[in-house]
Amino acid sequence: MPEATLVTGGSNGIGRAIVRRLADEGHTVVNVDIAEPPAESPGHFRRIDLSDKATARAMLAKLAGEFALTRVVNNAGIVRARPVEQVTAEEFDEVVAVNLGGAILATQAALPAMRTARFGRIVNIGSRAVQGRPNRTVYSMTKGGLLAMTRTWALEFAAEGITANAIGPGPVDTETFRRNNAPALVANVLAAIPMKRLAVAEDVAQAVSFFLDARSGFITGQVLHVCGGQTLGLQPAA
Amino acid sequence: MSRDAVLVTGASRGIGAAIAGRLAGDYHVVNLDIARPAEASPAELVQVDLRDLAATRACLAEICTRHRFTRLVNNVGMSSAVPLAELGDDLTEASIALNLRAALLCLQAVLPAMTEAGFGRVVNMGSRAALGKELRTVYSATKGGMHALTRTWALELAGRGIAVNAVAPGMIDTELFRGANPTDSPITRKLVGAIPMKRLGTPDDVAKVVAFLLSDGAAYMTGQIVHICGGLSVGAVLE
Repeated sequence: MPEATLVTGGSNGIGRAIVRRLADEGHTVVNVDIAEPPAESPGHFRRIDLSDKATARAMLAKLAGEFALTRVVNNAGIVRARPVEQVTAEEFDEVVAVNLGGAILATQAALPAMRTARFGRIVNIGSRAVQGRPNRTVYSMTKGGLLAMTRTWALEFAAEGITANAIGPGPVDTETFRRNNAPALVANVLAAIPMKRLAVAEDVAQAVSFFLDARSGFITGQVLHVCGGQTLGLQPAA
Repeated sequence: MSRDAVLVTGASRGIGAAIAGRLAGDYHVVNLDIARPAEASPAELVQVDLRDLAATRACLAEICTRHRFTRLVNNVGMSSAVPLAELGDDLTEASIALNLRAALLCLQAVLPAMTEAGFGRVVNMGSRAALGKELRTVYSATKGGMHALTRTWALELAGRGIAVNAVAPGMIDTELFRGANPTDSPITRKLVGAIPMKRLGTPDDVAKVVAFLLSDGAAYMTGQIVHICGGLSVGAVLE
């Protein structure tokens, strides 16, 4: 069975840059997304809605029968920007299903291949928002959850050659970011970033590539902030 | 309306019961729990399954007509030890509904009264497991989520005089803990052996800190995660 790297949410934004970067490095990439990737996107694509648990579980199991998924990048995520008073239970469930449930399902699907190989790399895309961000109740909560799962998985699989790490991107210049942040707000965001620019998706792909490397095998349970210095002087993501 | 009241979820047992007991001298305490208290409790019990969205909403709407809640303790929680490979959707959904969604619903219910008062104290029950714990994919995720919620709510509500903090207990000797951590399991033994203070915590160890964070005096603390773990979260290797 061919070895492959599973990337969730690889059709747009950060995920698209990750898919491109990994393909350039020679990975066989399988992109799982609800949206179609651009025509020129490399690798394989499977349309799976990670919020539909039963169907997603079955389709991911099928995928795990076609490829030995020894590397997983849990990148799929959605944001609903809303003051806490206005968060609905429905959108709570929806965001949780994709941002947390999707990572659980994808990692579960890949785990057997990792165990067989006694080698695995799990990379979860977190967010600087775990350190608190107004109007991001559910988003920050799911990303905080993802970082905690990263540490739990790091411990649970440490003896099996499987590492689990996370990236904490600061604001990344993607369509999602532009949609959720009005221009005036972007100016405020930029003022808080020592490097005075937004990240580009390739900044995040660089960190993902590092964690996925076979030579990064003694690094596990860590969060690498890719934030232009924004987290400096603030508390760690505990 | 009664005098200012404190809403505590899951106060029929364990840490919640200790919190209710400690607060009862200072406030009217309302306990939202699926079960009746294991021992005599000074709190007003309102029985509800906090995993049930409709029931929780109805219950919160009703008690908020009778009490002005300016203090909230999001304590309720469930925990199971399950390897990731065996984790099913039902456990994930129930844990997230109880450990996280109930906290959101409770905060939303009491926020109008806190906003009107220009005063509020919220304490969320986090956990050391947010730092990672084997066989706790969902539990650790919910508690890591709780820590992040604490900081987001702290920032969002800081301008209204509402302080939001969390406590992060380590190994506390409760029914919940004993259920998920059999005393003879290797992981439990390893963790207990790693506690610098060489003992499990008691529910009252946690309740005392919660009472402080709810007090008028804890006015300039917000968005903090207070670890109550006998030093376990320091993470040092004991020699």
